[in-house]
Amino acid sequence: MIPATLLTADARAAGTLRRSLRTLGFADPAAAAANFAALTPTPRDAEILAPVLGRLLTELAAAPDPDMALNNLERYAAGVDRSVFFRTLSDHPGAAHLLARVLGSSQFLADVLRRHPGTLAWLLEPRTMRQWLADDLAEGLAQSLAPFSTREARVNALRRFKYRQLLRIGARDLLGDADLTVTTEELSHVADVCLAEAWRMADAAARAELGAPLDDKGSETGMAIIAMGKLGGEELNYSSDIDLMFAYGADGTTAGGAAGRAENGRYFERVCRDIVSILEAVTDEGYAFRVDLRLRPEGRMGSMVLSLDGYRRYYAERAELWERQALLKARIAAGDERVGARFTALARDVVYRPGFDAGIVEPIRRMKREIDRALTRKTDERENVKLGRGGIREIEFLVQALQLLYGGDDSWLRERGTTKTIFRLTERGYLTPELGRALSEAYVHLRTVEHRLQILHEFQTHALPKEPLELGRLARRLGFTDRPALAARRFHARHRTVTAAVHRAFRDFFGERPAPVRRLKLPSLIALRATGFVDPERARHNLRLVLEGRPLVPYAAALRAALERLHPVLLDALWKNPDPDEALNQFERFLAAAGPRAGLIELLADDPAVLGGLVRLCAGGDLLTQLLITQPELLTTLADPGARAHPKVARQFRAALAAVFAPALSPIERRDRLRRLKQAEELTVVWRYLFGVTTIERYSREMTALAEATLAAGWLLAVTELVDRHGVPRGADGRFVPAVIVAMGKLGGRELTTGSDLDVFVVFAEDGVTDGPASAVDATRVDNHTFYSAAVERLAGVLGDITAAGTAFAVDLRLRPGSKGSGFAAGLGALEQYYDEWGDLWERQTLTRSRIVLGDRALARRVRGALRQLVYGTPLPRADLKEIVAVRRRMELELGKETPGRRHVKFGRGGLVDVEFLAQALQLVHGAEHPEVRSPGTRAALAALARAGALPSATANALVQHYRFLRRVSAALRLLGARPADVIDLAGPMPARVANALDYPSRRAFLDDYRQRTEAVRAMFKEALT
Amino acid sequence: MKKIEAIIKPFKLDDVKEALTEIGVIGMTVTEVRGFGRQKGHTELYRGSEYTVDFLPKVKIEVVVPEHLVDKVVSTIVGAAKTGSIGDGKVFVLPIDESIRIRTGETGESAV
Repeated sequence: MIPATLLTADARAAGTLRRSLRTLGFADPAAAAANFAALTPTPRDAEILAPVLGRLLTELAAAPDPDMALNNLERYAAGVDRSVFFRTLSDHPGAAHLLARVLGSSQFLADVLRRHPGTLAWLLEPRTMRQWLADDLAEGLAQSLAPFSTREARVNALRRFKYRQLLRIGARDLLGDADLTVTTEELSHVADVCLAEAWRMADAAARAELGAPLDDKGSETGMAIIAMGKLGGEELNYSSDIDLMFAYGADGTTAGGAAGRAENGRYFERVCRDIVSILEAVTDEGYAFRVDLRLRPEGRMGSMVLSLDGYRRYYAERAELWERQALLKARIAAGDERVGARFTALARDVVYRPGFDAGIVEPIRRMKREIDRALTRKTDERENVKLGRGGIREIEFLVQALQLLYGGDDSWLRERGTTKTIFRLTERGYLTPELGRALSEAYVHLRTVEHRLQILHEFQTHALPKEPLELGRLARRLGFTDRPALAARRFHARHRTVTAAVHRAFRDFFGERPAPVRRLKLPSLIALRATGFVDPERARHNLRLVLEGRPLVPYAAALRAALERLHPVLLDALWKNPDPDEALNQFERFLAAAGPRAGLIELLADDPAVLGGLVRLCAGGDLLTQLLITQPELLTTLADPGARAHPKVARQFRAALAAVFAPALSPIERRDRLRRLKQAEELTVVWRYLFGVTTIERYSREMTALAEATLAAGWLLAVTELVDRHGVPRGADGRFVPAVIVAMGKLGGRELTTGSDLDVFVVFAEDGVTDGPASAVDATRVDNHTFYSAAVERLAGVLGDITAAGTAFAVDLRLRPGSKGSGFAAGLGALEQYYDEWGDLWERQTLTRSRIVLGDRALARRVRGALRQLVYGTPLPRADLKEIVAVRRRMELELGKETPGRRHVKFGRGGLVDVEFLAQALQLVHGAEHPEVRSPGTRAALAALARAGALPSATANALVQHYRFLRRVSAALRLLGARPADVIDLAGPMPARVANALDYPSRRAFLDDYRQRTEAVRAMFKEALT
Repeated sequence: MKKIEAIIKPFKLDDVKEALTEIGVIGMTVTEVRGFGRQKGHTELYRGSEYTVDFLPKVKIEVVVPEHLVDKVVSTIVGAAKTGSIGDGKVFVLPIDESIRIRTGETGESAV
């Protein structure tokens, strides 16, 4: 370590300093020494820097490029008040690390920081360094623009906002706080909110001059901004151009303004040019984004903006494979939502054709051969991360080919982001789990390399540096901590392994194989129709896929014998099923996913009872098939008839999960075991509901009990790991400080169903510190708040992380008190204080569903008392119901988004939330006076409200019935795999399938009943709350 | 004449400067300072490590303006510096007895 005195001492010391700097890894020690001297021009500066100098040097030496880090640090210091800066470095625990990492990785971010030195303090705020969702970014931008009215000032403020966000996102990326998905998503959302703002500005300006654009019927029409490419897939890089297309609703003329009238086409072209100039223009504050419009119809030759009809005409005649491929990623980023929705529908029809689209196999192969040829021509491009052998393009091409081939029938594959699509293709069995995982890891590796290449200078480069030192620095930016030469070698080895694997997969995938030697005889169409298949063509096609494998996804040869035995048994089971079409569809998916697991297919071929059950299951629920697809071995759980017949209670679930704590397991093994045990239990719980053993209430109670048992096991795992490291949390008197878990939402109300998140927060008794670990050496004592916050974070990971074994439960911590502040757990005192000072009505309302599910009894009593006081201490004045109704209205519009063709069972008009809000609002009004109405469950609350005279009992009864109906619809949708959850798409197959699951005679009968019931609910909601 | 002294978050300086320019205020003195208000003493968790909030970097802006501009300048600063979270800063308005332009010896408002 270098003593601080060296920096201020004489020339003799300078030699020592240079030697030390070389040892630390500075490539140019003389320049580094000069930089250190320049950093502290006066003895006073050196004195202020002295306390932090050692830490700073360590951090700089660990930076990917120590010389660059120090050089940038010196230049930054020259532009600010050194005494303030140096003190910040020594006071703030994250400052030196953040600066060394950012300034030593990215010249581009270093320059941004130097231009806006004040941003450093912002980066050091805990609130800054978290993930910002699209809403947060929109709010941030609005706040940045609010003080300004002129266009010039707003355009500048927009740029400042963008650069500030780039720094935040880049810093989190480089510090390892955000993974690739989060980073690219956040970058895309920054572009989205900037686009939306540019559109608002441009549209307002055009409107003032030309008036509103009108269609031929005289109603207003608008424009949608369509993000394509990386922005469309929410996978933007730091230096990506943004690919855009523009579409407007209809032709016509504008209403007229200061500059007269114009054709809509001209109006929108003006808006587009203005949007591009708002984003691209370079001002004193830089630029916002570079825009690329070449993906539009006719490319550079085409007009900048087309009407929806224009797009429809063009794609009907011209859609080439590459254009369909490009449209896979089309996403409405900003602009008029109605036009956007119509464009999305249009694009979907262009991209996805119903049925398996065999016609494109050949064009895809042709395109693949072109890619190969391009590679052989440019040998020096082989190492190109994007276009090279085994590069990003090969993965994207493979993924997109599968989407185009199968997305027409399987809407679950219609995803824009590459990693998500790989995940879904694997889920659905189009990729084997091994290949899916390998491709996904390779994609993350390649995109991370691309990012780290580009973050240096914000150049759009994809070539690995040839110079060894530069390659070493790249490797260090990627997280290899060795000296540059070694880091370069190790990176190169890893990179070669990854690209070789990708290229092999790519080659195998498109390699042409001989057709199967002997074809099995399939039943004729007539025979299939006669045995109950509504769509015999489809059935025949499915049978062929079952027996021969999918194009580009064939079976292993070893499976053939088992498949031949399976054939007759399967046909027999299908003919007994009331919905053989759907059963066969799902069965095909299951089998495709099971892939090379020969044992499983043999089990099915040899045990008709299990096969019969499976076929029945396939007809009844996508979700169960889904569970089985990810873990086919769960099928054996169902082989036991006893497990299927008897509902379980909490104690039995706890006993079943106890195996998680078997000795000699690693934490990772325990997590995976917890997942598998929970999924096996869930499968039987769902099975019991699906086959009528349990009612919707009993099913929810079982799911709730399972969730509580899982939560208890997860909490124990999380806390144990922390106690090993930090010891046990103690109070001032040395006694153990316990905590409790408070459940809210569906878990609180015991209304959990498959796929629900667990809404929880944790309260601990009092402040204090842990007593340190029994054995570990490097461990530290932490205060109780830190201990329990870390425990909650761990809990969320223990249950929610997606591992090789899937996930147990997603844990949602957003309803916790003070969710935007730091820390995940609250002390009892802080909890009361928070709600008193900050809590709003919405939070108070969510607490009506709070229920303590785990933890120390004495503390539970105190927490329960405190929560009761907060929720029911003072009755809610009826006048405040307006606010609840307003929140409900916003949810309906923003989350329900109902249209004539789409219903939302939860957020829609007269949906579940209407009933829940009605009950909760009346609970808040009457709970103070009538303690008996304070139930977290909706049904119980409604009944109690009726008994207390707060609701006519006829209304309460009707509401309970409607609520039950809606819950059954919601559960059916989830089990049938409707995506997104709780949405009924009237044009799709769901209404008929739900009708079938709920025993309605027809689709019509179900929809009529749905309409009547939701109308009745809405009427009661209005009457009770206004 | 009044002096308006504002302590704001450093990253808001560009916004405040631009907003003041927009309403015609061109001269100002800017100092980087460290300070604390009500935030002091509590602990925060920054990327997993805990620290006690003590002195935080802030920026101090000083502007001297004629009486009739005071309200507008104050509301402009408040509007531009506000983020809604703790630590947004403070604005103080102080009386000015006299002002002199050193180069010319002018006094009063014309010296500002």
